[in-house]
Amino acid sequence: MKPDRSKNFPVNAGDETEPSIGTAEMPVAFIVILALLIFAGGMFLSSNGGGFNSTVYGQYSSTNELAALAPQDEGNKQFAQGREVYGRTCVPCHQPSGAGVPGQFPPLVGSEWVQAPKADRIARIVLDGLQGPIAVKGTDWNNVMVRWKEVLNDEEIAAVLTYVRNEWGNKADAVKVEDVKAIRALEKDRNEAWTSAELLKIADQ
Amino acid sequence: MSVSWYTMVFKPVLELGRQTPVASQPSNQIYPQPRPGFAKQGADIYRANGCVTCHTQQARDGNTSSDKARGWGVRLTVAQDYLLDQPPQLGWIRLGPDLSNAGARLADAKYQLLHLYNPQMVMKGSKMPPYKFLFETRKIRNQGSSEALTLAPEYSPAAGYEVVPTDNAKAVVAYVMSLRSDLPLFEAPMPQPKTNAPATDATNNAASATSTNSPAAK
Amino acid sequence: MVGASVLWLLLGSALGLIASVKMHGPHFLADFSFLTYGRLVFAQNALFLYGFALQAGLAVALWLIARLGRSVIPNATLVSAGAILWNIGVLAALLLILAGETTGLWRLEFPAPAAMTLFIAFIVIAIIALMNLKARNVQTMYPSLWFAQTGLFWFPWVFAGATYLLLFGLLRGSAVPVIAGWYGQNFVGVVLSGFALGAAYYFVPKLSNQPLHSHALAVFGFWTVIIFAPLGGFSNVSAVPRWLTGLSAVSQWVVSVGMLANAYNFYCTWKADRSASSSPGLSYFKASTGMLALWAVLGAWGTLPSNSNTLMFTHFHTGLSVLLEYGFIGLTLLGSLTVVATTLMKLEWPSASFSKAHLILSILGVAVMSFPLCAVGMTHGLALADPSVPFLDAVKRTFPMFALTTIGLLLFCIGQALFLLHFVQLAVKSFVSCCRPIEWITPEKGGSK
Repeated sequence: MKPDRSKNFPVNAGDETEPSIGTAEMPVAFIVILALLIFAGGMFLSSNGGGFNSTVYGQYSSTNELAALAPQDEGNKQFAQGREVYGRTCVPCHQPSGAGVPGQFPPLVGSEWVQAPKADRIARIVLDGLQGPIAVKGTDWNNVMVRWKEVLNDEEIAAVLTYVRNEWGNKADAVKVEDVKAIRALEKDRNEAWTSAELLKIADQ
Repeated sequence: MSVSWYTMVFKPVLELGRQTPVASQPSNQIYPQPRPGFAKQGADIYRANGCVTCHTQQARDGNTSSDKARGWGVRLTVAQDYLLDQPPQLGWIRLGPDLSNAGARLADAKYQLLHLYNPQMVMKGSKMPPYKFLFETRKIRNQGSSEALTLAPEYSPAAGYEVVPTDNAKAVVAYVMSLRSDLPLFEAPMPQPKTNAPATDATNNAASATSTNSPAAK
Repeated sequence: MVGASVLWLLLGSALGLIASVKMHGPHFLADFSFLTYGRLVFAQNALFLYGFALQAGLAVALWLIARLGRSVIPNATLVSAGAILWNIGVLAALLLILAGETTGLWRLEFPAPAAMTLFIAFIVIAIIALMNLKARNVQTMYPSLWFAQTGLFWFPWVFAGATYLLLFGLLRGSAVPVIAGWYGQNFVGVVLSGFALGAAYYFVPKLSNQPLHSHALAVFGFWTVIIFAPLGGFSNVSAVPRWLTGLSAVSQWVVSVGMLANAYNFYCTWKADRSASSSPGLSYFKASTGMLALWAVLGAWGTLPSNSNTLMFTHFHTGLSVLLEYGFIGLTLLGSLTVVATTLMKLEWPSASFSKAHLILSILGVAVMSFPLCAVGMTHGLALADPSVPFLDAVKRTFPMFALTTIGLLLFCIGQALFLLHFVQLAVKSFVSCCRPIEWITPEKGGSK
């Protein structure tokens, strides 16, 4: 880069000769690199191309791998369905975190009611609602929970119960659809919300 | 040229262009659902103001990125997620946080309006520009608007005035809150435990997703 | 056309500058909806690509075809009309974007009305250019013409396809990112790069008074780019099928080799010139060749499986496209314009210091704009990948380097302002002296408003 300072920044104006083309050989290296690259690229695509299948994304490598990850057993299905039911039914009061609202709605996280060995009591609460004072995790609460009998079917109630019993670190057995069905049949004449005192009379086992 | 035309246009158009909403498998919910009308208007505001130049809307998998740990997404996002958007706003750089699942973690409209009006009020040092032109500063009439922003004294307008969000501001907030990609799909599974009892993995996700309810933590 | 493109370049860069300053002080000019950051970024990009790069690329391609074919443009009036229409299209695009009518698609930012105007304008100019190419008086095609011709054919195809599919809303949302990415990649990777490569293939040998080093290398460089560049462009997207990102990576590697071959060809050509009398205009091409080589190496490095995930969604990709678009394409076309303008007007640039200042400011500006971005991409990526780093900190960490980008853009802006001023001087001088009719480009300056 040696600017010709003799004149004002001359940029070759008016020169009518056109460049010709040289015949220098191409360095073999380029061909070799290209060949290697095409080979390597093919190898790369065979493991990173997802088989050119448009349903393979991210770190997954084939549809088989995806099929293995797809939800299969009942438990998972029920849990996921419960998450969905919880999201549209319970979130306004009990919050996405399951922590409830202090002073108004009791928490589900770590609740002894939720994690009881059997779901007989909470199934009744969901079905017919709850009113009056109740002690949860050593705190007294006093509010009203509406009934879901007419809104949720047995499958959905079983799913949402299973969900709250196993989400946020809670741990308890899954709830079977038949159990909910049985309780619903047993209490089909009930027409008012449960109270804590009534529920405690129901055997926990 | 035709090679490119075939691979990059024909194949995607046929394979992705014909996608339809599907039932998300475990819950059997149809996905994606059309956005509510107001959120759809918000998508236009989002597009018009080039929000996409700072925010991505594509989460990657937890194994290959920190997106899950940051609470940005519970699974990777795929073409199905953008089916009903016209156009999808995928984005290319993260000068702001990813918004692909923003509806799940930023569920507080009041907070979002404040943040939109002046990000500095809720997140000191944020690089996001204030969108004051989406708000109206007006004289308080009667008791004032119920929608007026509650502003700290140093950000308040002159006495007797209040800051009220316009429809555009409310729409764009509705849009951001409608951004969800947390239903599992075949091509984007949400890894769950094999047994039905301890949902450890899902538990952690939910816990991290909820603990990030306060976006200031991000 | 020359003047207009530089005007757009300046305007676009100025908008970019405002946007860049906003990154440091988000409150800067925040109260005007049409000057909000997101709109400015789109406007800057559209003005650079369509206002400057494609327009200058077309002008240079037209000139090369006429020059290398030893023929005269058959219908100069139509070309001027096309150029005026083109600039109306760019103006419409700018106003629509600032008014909030952007499509939100990178590199196809403007809505259908502006796109149609641009398309018609391009077709008019391209048809005349191709007619001229057909009517050439020299039978052999010099490598520059391969690239110019490819660009002329390629752009209408991809632009029409993308506009039709995207702007008229015919596609379901899930396919939109793929088509938009395909278009952006073809537009920049084949059309604009093609025009720039064509220009460099002409001006490098011309300005160094040497024959082009190797015909075989040029063939190699041409075909690798033309075949593989259109298959790329998805290395910075996550939500597309995996085969697209995989194919993109492979195509990027091959294109990098092809571009290195081109750069090597240029290097050998000017290296052969042992005299000290080469034109100072060559410096533009030396710099742009360097940028091209750097882009090729960094681009390949960035798509390696070990790096691509970290670098995704970071400043790295912005830096990379600045390197290609401003560094290679921009500098090459600026260098070409410098030469073309004087040749057409049969005059030398009035002020040597202005010319030198433009040269230095342009090169320095692009370097200071792009290098820090590429460098800080890794920091950005590593910080993002570590969930213990709060997001805001991850972004803030990149800001010291980002400040350099703003400075680079400022330098670049000053450089282009000088160039425009200088160009006006030259045009006035040419008009005043008016010793010879200025062949066919004079009416086109009508396009520069």
